[in-house]
Amino acid sequence: MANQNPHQNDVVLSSRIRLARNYQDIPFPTMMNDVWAAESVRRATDAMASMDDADAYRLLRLSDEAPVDRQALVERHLVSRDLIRRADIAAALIRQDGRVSIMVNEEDHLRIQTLMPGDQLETAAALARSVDDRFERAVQYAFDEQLGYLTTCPTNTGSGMRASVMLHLPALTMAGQMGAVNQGVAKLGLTIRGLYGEGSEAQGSLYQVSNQITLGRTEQEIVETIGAVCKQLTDLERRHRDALKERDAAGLEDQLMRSVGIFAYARRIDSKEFMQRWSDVRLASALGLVDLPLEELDALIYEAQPACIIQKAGKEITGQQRDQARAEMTRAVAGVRG
Amino acid sequence: MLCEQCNQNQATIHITKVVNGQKSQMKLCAECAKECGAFDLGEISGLLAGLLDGGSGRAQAASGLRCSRCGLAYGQFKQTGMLGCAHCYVDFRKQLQPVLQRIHGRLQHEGRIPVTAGEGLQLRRQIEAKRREMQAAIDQEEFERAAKLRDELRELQSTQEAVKEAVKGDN
Repeated sequence: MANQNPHQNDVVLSSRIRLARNYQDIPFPTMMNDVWAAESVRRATDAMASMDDADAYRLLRLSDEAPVDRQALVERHLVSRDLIRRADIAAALIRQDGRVSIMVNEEDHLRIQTLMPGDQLETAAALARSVDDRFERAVQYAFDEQLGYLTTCPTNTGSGMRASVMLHLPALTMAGQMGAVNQGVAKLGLTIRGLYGEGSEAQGSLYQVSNQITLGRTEQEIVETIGAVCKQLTDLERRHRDALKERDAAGLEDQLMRSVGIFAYARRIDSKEFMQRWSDVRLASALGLVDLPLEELDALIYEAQPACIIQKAGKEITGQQRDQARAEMTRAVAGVRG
Repeated sequence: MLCEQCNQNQATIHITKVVNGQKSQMKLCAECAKECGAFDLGEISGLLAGLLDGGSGRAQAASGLRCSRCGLAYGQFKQTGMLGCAHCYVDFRKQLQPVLQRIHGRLQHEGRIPVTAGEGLQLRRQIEAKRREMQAAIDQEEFERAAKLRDELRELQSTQEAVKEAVKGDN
C-alpha cells in the first residue's frame, strides 16, 4: 500500500539543508570588490581540494555560463536565484549527483546546500555537517561566541541553517485548507512557500516548509521541528486524500485520470498546464490508480521547466517547440511512445 | 482605546506575536502598526527597516555610525537589511541586539561551534551549564546531587586548566 511507504514519498518530494557561512576577514559579498570576490572563490576551491571526494565536484563560474544554463541550474534547485543575480562575482561547486552544491559569493560567502530525495532531512543535515566540517578545517569562519555564525542578513545569524522539505499537498489545496496550514506553520516559527521559494506561487500544489528562526536553536532542534511538522502535514494530507476518495471516488479518479490521459497523449503542453496536470498525475500514482514511478515524475518537474528544455535542445527554440518537447517528456514518462 | 505606541490615535489594529511559545499582544493605531512593519512581511528589507524604526530613539542616534572595517553606514544597513562584514557585528552590536531579539526571540547561539573557535569554548559552555545545574540542586536542597555535580564541575575545570597549559606550551 502506498500509505505504508517508509520514505513517505507519496507526500514528501525532497529534503534540503542550507548553511550560510562567511570568512572571518573579508567583506561580505554586499561590500566586496572583484579582488575579494576572486579571493573568496579561491579559498572555496582550495578548501574543496582538501576533500576526499573533490573529484566529484565541478566548479562553475557563473560569468562563464550562458544565461539559459544559469537558469537551468536554478530550475534544478542546484543554485539560487540570488546567485545568478550576482553572476559577475558568483561561482558554484556542484557535486556530480547534485546532492551537494556550494554557492560562493551569494548573499554570504558560502552557502552549503544538500538536497536529498524524499523524506531524508536528517541525512541531508548529516551530509551538510560533513561538508561544513571539512571546510571549517581549511578556512576561518566568521563566528561569535554569543551570536554564532555571522551572516550578511541578521535573519540567518546563529546556526545559519535553513532546513526545508518539499511537500505535495493536492488534497489539502483542493479542500481549501492551505490558509489554515499557513497559519499553523507560522505559529511554530516556520514558513511555507511555493516551488521556487520566496515569492513564487505554489504551482502544482507543491510547498516548501522551512524554519525562520536560526538563532538560539540547535541544528538538531531545527531539523526535529521541521521533521515533526512534515510528519503532521503528511498525515493530514493523507487523511484529506482518503476523505476525497470517500466523498466521490469516481469523481476524483475521473479528474486525475483525465490528466494522466493528457500526459500520455498530448502533443503540446505549456508550463502552466504542465504543473496542474503533473499534480493530478502524481496524486493518481501515489493513490495507486496508475503505476508510474514517483521518482520519474519528480525528476520531470525540473526537467520540464523552460530553461532545462532549451538546454536539452541545445539551441534556441520557440515557445511552441518547447511545449512540444515538454509533451514528448510527459509521454515518455506516462509510457506511451510515438 | 488609545494606541499603546503613540498614545494619541485610536488603536484599530491588534497584533498578536507568538515567539518561543510566548504570546504578546499590542494594540496600535494604523500608523504605528505600519511603522513597526507589521504589514510588510513580504520584504525582509522593509521588515527590518520597520523593526528598526519601530524601536526607541537609539536607531536614530545610530544613523551616523559606520563600521570601522568595511565602512558600511548603519543607515545603509537599515535600508537593505544586509551587513558588510563580520566586524559590523562588533561595531553595531548595541543596535543589532534588539533587531536579532525581535527576529529570533533569543540572543544566545546554541548550535555548532567551529573547531577553530575551540575546545575552550565548548568546555566553557559545559562548565557554565554544570554550574547552573549545581546551583539549581542547591536551591532545591538536593545536596547529594549538588555534591556529585560539584565533583563533575571540578573535573571539567581541571580539563580547562590542562587545555590552557597546552595552548601556552604551543605558543
